[in-house]
Amino acid sequence: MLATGLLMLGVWSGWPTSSQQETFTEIELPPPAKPHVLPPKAQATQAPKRIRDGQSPNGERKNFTSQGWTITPTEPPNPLVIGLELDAVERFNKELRTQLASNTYAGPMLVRVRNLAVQANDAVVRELAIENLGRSHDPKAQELLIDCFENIADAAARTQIVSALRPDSTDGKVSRFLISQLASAEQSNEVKRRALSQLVGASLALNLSPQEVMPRLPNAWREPYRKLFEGVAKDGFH
Amino acid sequence: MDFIKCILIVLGIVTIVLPAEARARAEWWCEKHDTSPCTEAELSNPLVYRQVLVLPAGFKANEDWLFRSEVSRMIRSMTQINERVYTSKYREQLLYVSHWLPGGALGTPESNFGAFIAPHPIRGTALTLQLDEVVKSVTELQIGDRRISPFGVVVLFNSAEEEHTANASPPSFLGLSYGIAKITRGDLNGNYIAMHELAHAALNFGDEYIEAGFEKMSINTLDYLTPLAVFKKGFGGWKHLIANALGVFDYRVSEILAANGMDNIDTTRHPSRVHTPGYRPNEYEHEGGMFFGAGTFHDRGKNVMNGGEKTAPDDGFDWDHSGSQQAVLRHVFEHPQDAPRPNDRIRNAGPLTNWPSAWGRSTHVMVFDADKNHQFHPTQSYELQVGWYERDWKTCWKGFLPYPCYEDKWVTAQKTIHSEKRTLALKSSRLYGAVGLLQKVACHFGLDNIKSGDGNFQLCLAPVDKLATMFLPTMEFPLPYQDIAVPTSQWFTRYYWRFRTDNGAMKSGFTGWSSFYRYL
Repeated sequence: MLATGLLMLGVWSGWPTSSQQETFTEIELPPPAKPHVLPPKAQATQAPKRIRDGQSPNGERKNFTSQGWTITPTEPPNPLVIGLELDAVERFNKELRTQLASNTYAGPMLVRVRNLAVQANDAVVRELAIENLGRSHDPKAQELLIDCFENIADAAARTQIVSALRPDSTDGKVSRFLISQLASAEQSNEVKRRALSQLVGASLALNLSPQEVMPRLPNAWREPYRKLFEGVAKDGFH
Repeated sequence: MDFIKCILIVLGIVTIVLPAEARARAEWWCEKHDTSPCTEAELSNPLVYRQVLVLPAGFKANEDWLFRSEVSRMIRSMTQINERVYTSKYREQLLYVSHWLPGGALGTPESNFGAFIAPHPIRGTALTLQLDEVVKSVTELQIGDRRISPFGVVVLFNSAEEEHTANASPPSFLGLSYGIAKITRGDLNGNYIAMHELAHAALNFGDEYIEAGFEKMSINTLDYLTPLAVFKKGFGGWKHLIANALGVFDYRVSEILAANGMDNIDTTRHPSRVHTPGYRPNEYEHEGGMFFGAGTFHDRGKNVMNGGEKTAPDDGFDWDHSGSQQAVLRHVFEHPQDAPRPNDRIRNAGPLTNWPSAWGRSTHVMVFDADKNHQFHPTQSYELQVGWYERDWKTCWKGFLPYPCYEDKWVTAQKTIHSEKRTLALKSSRLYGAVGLLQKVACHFGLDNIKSGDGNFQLCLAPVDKLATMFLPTMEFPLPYQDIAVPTSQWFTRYYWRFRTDNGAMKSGFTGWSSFYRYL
């Protein structure tokens, strides 16, 4: 009975399911304000007043105040803003910009950042969303940046995206994408030069020699790659 | 003769027994732009009258006259230029304190601060010295006379050479109240170098020009090095190492270099990352700076920290300052008590995932604050808010049947935490291919002497081919991050948190809410 109770307790408290654990839920929307009715099974097993010591209404408050914190009234987080909802672009633009600029995400929330980058009709929100993806250490963020590139036509946004890409190997998705931009006839010179620079930067960091990378590049970009690599890595520029 | 001998003996005794303070006083002098001596009132008011301390390197004992005349030439070169430039515009408030220290020629064992001109892997030659020896000398001078309070130090090398890399270590990198600039006598043939290097050392301005060849390189390349970085203070131990490896906290080398106290440079076009009521944020319209053509941003307006081929009409070099630079200058020279803006270059830096960062009764959150080490209005404290939902259980009724139900009640706890220094050790021994890049950046900021055991390692001297294979000592940087303990004790609870800064004059707006989940 105790085990069942603990299990139910975990479920109510938001203990992630196994699928959630794999994908790291980052932000959870706040629970509804209405009274929450326990399922019948739980009603039979749960005490109506206290879940456990320390989870009494005042237990955590006392924990904080005993360590020098003060309880202060604030508004709860706005679910549209912390949820990075598209509706927030118009209704809570300032708050959304702050949310994007002052937080970094991982896991499923990255898709919401991507959606803002692609769908928000606001250049600053788009820029902040791209920047946000570029800041994330989650490898999924790099894939989403590529997705953004393919879904955003704006030239400034595309150069911003390319500069945020960080290949982690010579044959990874990001490397292949950057190389494909070098090969693309339609791509702007600005994007191509930035793509080349990111490849050079990654080569330096991953300790790759030009001989390992150049064969993968389009012919026309091999010599520029070598020159840029050597300039940055060795002799510098005068 | 006996009389003369007596006089000499007395003078000798006086010299020997003269207190250190008096001796120190005798070996420095203070002058203004018009060669007039500084007054007692000016020297005693370093917040209004900003002191530039000039030290000699490579001048022998009988070359004090040369040092004096070159200091005068330096002052003229900096103050007799366009009125819009800070050394000219605020010339009445700049005091040049010169401290005569005889030594040996550059490159000899007697050379002050171990100063010499070294072959440089990037630009031919470089001015090199031991920064900690300069700091020691400044400290001794200050002990000798408490009025000495420089906001920038210039080390003048006794060399007529002009084909070298003048450089400066900004205060935010040194973790001091002043930075250190290195120039030669040859640099005084023009008006630009001394003024520009002093802007690094005294005003903590970063370069807004782009190094040739780096036009499309992004400073984010240096973020590959972040996993090599280890916090030296704050919560540490194995938990931090694991957290670091898992990317739980979002700190990065690019921010440590380009968003760490330098007011005129940032890693985003929108440096005001939070909204502060009543304050209209500035935007850094132009990309580029700190060597790199991408990933760094600066304000519009041609100015003395910029240069090179720029396409925009309001970008590039001029004898002037950008808007953001002018705001700093007004603060420094006109309103030193009033910070011109809130310290709003902040963000939540983790934990990012559902990392169970607390095994015990606390969790650590990390704050990023680009103004933490600001030269003139550093953050004094952080106001941290932590919120959670309490379950307020009650009895509900369905007709006549009671049943348990609860309401979620939002609760916020708040605490003010003082800003504390944090440093980071970059284990450069594993830089591999990025070592050349880091060498360029480090040398540019005058971080060419790194402590290594009992000696010093000359980072800028070593050829890059050899550097990658050498065991390099650790480089330390003051950080724009701080970890803060939060006493989260409730299992299976999501906590939300945010913070804002207080720079003593203004409070910033809050960051957006971040959250983490406490399992056990």
